[in-house]
Amino acid sequence: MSSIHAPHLYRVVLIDDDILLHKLLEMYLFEHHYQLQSLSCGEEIRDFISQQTPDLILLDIMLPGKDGLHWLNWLKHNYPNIPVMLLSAKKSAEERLIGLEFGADDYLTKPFHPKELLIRIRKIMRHPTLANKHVTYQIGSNLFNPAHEHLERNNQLIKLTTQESSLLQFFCQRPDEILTRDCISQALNGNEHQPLNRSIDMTINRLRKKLGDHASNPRYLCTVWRKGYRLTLAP
Amino acid sequence: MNLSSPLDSLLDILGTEGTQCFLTFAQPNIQQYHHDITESLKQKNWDAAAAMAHRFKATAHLYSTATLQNLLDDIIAKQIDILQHPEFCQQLLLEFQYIETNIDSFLKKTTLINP
Repeated sequence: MSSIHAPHLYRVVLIDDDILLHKLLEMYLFEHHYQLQSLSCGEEIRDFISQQTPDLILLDIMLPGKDGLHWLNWLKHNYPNIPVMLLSAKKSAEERLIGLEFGADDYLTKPFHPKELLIRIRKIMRHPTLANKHVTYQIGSNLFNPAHEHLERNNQLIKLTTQESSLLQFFCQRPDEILTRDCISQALNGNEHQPLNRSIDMTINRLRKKLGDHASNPRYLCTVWRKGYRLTLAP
Repeated sequence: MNLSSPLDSLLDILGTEGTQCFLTFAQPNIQQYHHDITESLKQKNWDAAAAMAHRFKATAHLYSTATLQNLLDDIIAKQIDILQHPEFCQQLLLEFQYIETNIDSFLKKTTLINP
């Protein structure tokens, strides 16, 4: 029996208040295996990103409310591993330099040809550091390597399961944030947390042990009463 | 099928069905841009006209004429002496009418083929 595998869809978020550009890119990128989700202003990114991690963010500079450079700074501070491409109608070299200084991974001037955007997106996705292939996180005395699904402490390798590694990476991308079980379940499983399902709590307990944390008084993966969990990278 | 050249870029990117779908969605928005830009120019609200022209230009280059794009550049650059010339709005109207007619004609043809 043969089986057909649907191609993996990369998740790209466009933050721009131009609905025609949304529609055009949504249709074009979908044909090339990128699922475009659209936000009309930067203020929407906080909620969005707490639910799911996109593979790439396309960020317009001229936005209603706070401008794209503000949100670029916020993203690079809170989610340094998510690549961001700035879009701007202005050709100002100064603005471009500020964007790149703030950590933008690329910069595209409007109007652009969608094919040029696609080429640049593919280039970013291929970049090893941006594709999260070599990213490591320091959690106290632990060095967490998501690509190899292991922790390293005192020159010892501690193997993680895929579920443990995914959960820990989700926390590492949001240090010091309180993450509810719903939000964790949505991000990892794509569905709401079922109150009787203890799998997240059990995975947290196993991670605490592997991190060398105390079960009753954890330093890294702390329980926030009636809310969820929070990771502190350097207590 | 003989298609209008201003839509060639869009057809190359999205194909005939995709272009049909996009232009069906875009048509009322283009008419709204036309109306809003013209009103802002009449009211001498150069900033509002420039902001709208900026936004419109992001996709308009794929389905409009070089002349319309030059007119949008003048609006974006707030070339007030050019914008206040009586012929400017007239030319803008003609260019918008041209692309609207093109889109309308394309949609009528393709709807007959892909209803």
